[in-house]
Amino acid sequence: MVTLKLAWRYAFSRSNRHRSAMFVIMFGIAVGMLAIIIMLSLMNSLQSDLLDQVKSVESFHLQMVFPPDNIPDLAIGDVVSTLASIDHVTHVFPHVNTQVLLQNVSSDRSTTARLRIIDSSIWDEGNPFSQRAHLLAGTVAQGSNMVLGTTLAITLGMRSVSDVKMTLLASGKAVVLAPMTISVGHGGTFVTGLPEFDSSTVMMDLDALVDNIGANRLVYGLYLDDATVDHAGKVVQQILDKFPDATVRTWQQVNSAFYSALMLEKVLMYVFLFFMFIILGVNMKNAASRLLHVKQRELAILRAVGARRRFATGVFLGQTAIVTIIGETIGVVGGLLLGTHIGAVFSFFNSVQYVFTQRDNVLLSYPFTTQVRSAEVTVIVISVLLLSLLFTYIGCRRLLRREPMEMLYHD
Amino acid sequence: MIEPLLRFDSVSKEYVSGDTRLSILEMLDFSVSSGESVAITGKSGSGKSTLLNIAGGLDAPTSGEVLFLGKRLKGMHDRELSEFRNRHIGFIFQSHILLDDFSAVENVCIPALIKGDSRRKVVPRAKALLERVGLAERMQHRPNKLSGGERQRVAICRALINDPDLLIADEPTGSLDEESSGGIERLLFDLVKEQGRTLLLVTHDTQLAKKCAKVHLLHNRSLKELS
Repeated sequence: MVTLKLAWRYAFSRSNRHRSAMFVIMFGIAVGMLAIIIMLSLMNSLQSDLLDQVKSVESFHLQMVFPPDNIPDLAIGDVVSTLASIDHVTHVFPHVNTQVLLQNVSSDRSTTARLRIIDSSIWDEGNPFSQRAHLLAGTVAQGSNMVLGTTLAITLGMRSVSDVKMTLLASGKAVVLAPMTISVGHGGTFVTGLPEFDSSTVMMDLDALVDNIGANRLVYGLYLDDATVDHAGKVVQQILDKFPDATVRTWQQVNSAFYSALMLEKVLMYVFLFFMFIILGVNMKNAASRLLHVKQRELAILRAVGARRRFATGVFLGQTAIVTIIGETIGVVGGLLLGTHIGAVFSFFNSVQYVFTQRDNVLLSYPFTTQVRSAEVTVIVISVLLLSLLFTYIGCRRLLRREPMEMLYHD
Repeated sequence: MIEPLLRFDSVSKEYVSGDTRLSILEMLDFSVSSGESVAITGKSGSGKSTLLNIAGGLDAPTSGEVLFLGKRLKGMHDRELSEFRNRHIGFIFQSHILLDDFSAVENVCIPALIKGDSRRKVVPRAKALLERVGLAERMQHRPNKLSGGERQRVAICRALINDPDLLIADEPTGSLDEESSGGIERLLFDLVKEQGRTLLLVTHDTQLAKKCAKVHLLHNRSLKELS
């Protein structure tokens, strides 16, 4: 109790030298915490947003295909119904992904693209795709119309009335087999937020093309409920129970290269954070030394009147804990506030720079969001507290090795 | 034979700085009995304060033994040595060192609180001591609001709060003006007399030294009894 009382009094010392040291330490911890929280939550947000886009637009949550030589004698609708009846499956969309060569008849520009042939209902139902993909112009792909990704539309110089010649390519190992060219109308332009998807994809209605493509190239894309998306093992097993010959891949497997890259990025992010921690740690070590140096005389007095090393160490550990907790609280509250309003902050900076440059800054006008994970914040808070206590303990131990009078003479 | 309160057996103290060895005390034999008042005098830099610090367990001798009530201080564990300083020794330093963040009464209470006494028990005792030294109106003031003499009086109260066996005073009036010095001297000797304390005092003020029952001169690293 005495230890705590002394620690509390030292933490709010009225001595100018001590007060300035405390302020610097608190400020350092607060700024460090704020920076770590903002950076971590921004990166979390960017990553999860990217993964969400990939899962919802690019690959579905699960994909099921039948082997080309062993397709069950079932109508597509029956397969869809069977899959939709499985627990945790929310939507099923049969589709085909195939390579095409596109040529804008009006501008004569051409490019290769990936054609996703899918039931047009995917645009209308409430599903992860329709939540992510938005039509910028025109209508959804119906009949012989198609919709193009924004970047692709720009590449082809598309206008709303343009017609497109599309050559379907059946991919072989070394050559392109059996091309088939058809003329289609440009129904609209879409954007998903996935630049790679928007620059390489055209979409058409399944009913219009499935007869030409053939059912053996059909892939069934499944969306699952939120709780199952990342842990779909049981659903996969249920699908295999119903269709033993089918191959089922999760979104992680479909995007394994991308997923690994993201995981690697996450590891690098933690390495980066670790270095930030080291910098914060070095600052805290210096701060703890400074704090102890300022109070060296007091430490000597306490020892002279009978305080044990353990008691004196306890007082200074208590003081450090109080200062660190206050600094952390300011840092966390500041981090959360800034994190919540990061968009407004960037927007403000964008407005300021606009006054001088008359141009929107791409970086500052990006709709940044943050995702604060309480577990991560807790780990950071505890780590910073432990780190500051450790450095104080080391400093105290070193200082208290001296005789009390030696400490007084060195003050 | 009655064991003296404090005994120095062939105590030497050297400071080593790089290749240089500086001998401060050499083979000192000296003792203080219970109830005695002993003054150590000598020139500045003669090692008086070092002797006092060693006597109070604030510094360790390079060789020799310091015994307190027959118990060796050397080799004591930190817990034992801290307890010894806390319960048996009352220090009064030259520069009346007090804790800046605490009021006069809190400064006086600290050694007793470290000892483990309850606040309820300690505060009335500390207040009584402060009243005795004429600081009844200044109890809640912090050191920076007190004069040099007042601070030294707080330091005396702090030294007495745990009822120590030995009061050690290092130039207690060294940093005070003449008027304050006289007041502090009177107070110190009155308290020692009233409470039957043992006093070990270091001073280069011969008038102050003469007020003690025994006076030792520290010269050329050794002690000589003057009276």
